Amino acid sequence: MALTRWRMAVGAAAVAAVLVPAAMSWACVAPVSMTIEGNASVQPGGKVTVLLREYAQGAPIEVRLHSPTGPVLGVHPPPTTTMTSEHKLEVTIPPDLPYGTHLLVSTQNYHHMNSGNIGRATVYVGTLPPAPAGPEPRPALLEVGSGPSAVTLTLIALGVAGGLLLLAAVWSMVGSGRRTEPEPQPVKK
Amino acid sequence: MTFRTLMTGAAAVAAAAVAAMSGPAAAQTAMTYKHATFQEQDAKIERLTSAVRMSRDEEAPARGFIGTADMAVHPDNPRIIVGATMDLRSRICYLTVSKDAGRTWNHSKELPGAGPYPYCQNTTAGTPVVSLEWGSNGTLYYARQAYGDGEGPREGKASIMLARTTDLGETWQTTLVENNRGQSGESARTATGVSGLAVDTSGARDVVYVGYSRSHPDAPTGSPLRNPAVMLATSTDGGETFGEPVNLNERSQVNVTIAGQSVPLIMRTGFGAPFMTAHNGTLLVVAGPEFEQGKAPTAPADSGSGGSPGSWFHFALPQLIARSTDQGKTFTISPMSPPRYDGTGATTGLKWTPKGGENGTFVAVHAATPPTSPTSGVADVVVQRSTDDGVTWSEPLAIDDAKPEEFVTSFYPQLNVAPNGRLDAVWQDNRGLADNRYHVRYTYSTDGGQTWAPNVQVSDQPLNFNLGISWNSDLRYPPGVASANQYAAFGWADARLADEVTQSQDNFGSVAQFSPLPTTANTTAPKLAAAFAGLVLAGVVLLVAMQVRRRGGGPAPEPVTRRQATPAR
Repeated sequence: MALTRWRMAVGAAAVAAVLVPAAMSWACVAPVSMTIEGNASVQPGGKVTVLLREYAQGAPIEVRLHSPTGPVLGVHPPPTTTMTSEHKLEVTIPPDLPYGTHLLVSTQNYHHMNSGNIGRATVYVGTLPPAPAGPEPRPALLEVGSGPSAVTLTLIALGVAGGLLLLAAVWSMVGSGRRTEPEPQPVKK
Repeated sequence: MTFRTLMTGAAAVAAAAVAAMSGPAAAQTAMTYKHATFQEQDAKIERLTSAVRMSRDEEAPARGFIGTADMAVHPDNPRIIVGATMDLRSRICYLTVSKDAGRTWNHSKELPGAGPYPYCQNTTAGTPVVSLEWGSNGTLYYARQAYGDGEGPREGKASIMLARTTDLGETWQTTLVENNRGQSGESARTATGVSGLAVDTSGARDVVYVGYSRSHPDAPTGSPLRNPAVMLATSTDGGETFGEPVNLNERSQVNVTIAGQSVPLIMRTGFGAPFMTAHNGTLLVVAGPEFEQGKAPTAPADSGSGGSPGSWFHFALPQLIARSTDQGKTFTISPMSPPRYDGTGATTGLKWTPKGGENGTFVAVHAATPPTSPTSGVADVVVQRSTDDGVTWSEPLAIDDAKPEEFVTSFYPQLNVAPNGRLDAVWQDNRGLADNRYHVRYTYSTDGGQTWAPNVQVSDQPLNFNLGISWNSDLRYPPGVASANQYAAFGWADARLADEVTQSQDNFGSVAQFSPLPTTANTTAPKLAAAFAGLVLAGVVLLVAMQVRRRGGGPAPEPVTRRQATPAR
């Protein structure tokens, strides 16, 4: 697609632009983010560092095992800055945790901004993470109609034919009703 | 929803619940809304397509598209879909167009309103940044924030523009809805938008409503100019000219009772507002609630140490709605919803459908957390309906069918309606996902929002929020949905092509198809041919009938003989 000169000039200048959002408008109504920093594979009893982002200030962040009501593995003190900051917390994986895939869950039980959004991070205890799955296989194209079907066309033809024949029949009946028998001639003796 | 007083009891119950929890060891009890009825609808999804890249026209590695929060199908051609989007890096708004029902997309030949106000990027989040809507006679309206070099979100003095096209963006006409260029002093104003655009096509000329917010960044603290202003500008001549914009917050007289005190509420502008729809002379404008400056009550104990002074974050408050039936001259402003926490924002999808009531139904979808929840962040996408032209609203019901024990956060909903009245709602959620990944989720209703289809995941792979400029800068936007009788098309921001260096962010989209698209082949010729065949058939039958009658006619009549008269003897 051809670009206008104006658009090219704007685009060329803008590519080098660095976006610096206004601090007053950070989205304090976003979902929270909890991920594992570095290697997410760990042995039972080992340590992982969770990276916490988008959490509201003023309330502690609890990191629990498996669910929001699971055992607490660590607590990050209440953030003191806006939601633009990142927080790290080292937690110890229970030594009796069986090998496999497990979830760490973050909670923040307060009424402030997005507090309460559940963060989840996956740890692989004694195992490696699986290869990332690709997109779901789906059809690429949409279904398109094929125009009037054979049945529809047949019905159209029969409908026209039937209509015309009916018309002819009516015409015929009207015509024969108007024709009169000749008067019989008297026979002369 | 009639006017209600905030129940301080609800806040007290929540506070008691939190107090009962002993600090870090306290159990999370997620409270959710009652579910809507989920059942099979009159239409069924026959096909869900793979995702396609909608922003393929832009190859710059640093691209940062925000998704297409506002999308619409051409009223007369279901193959044409348009979407409004923005590139966060270049600060430019685009019109993206598909002419094959969402399989391929291109940016319009000309940018909407390019010229002395080329930029539109702002720092709203969780709401549409740029809005579009079809009007009469194939006119597409596109409203955005507008500024040039030396102006913008940080510098102030941004304006609002309406662009119009009748040729899918080959050419545009523009009108400045609010022009703030060159202003200075304490009363200098700036505008942020556009989260709301509504077009009423019921009259002789389109009535166009543009909703945005205004602020006075240089006004001194304590000045009334510091109060948020939710603005509405009205054009009664198809967008050619606009009247003086109206500040809805100067007309709000909604009060709530908190801790025994009556506290006024106004419409919130933070993160973007308002959200609008118009139908047959009725205009509805929705925004989240806010306290006037200096009048916020003290934050309750359950809001943590970040809660003083109080703000709307700490209280369960109702969503507010303004209703006008005289083209925006006068409004009735009241609570639309019961009190709720909106820890994921106030974005509201608003539409009218002919289904569900004698005069149709206005439908609103927004994310909410019930007032009984011990936190403000785990949210449902809820629906509210009005069958009396927007005067009263039903109780919110969750249209996300996640189970409460899954602790799913559903957020940033959008809504659209097909010509046959089918409602389409789309949002994002983290159902069954971890590691900062999310899906785009969808449901629909063919009975005016009374029942809904079981939810469908329409993104083909999880959105990785760890990559992309939005996820790294906290500027995130809703997915969008466009509705035709035959399908619903979706668009969202997606960083699947990003790496740690580029953080590229594209628009991706897919389609849920209900019925085949009409063929583009000539359908008249086969029908004419069939009719001609019928003609021929009738002629042959008549011919055969005549032949049979001629050959098979009755015995010839006897000749009449006359007797000669005999003379008498």
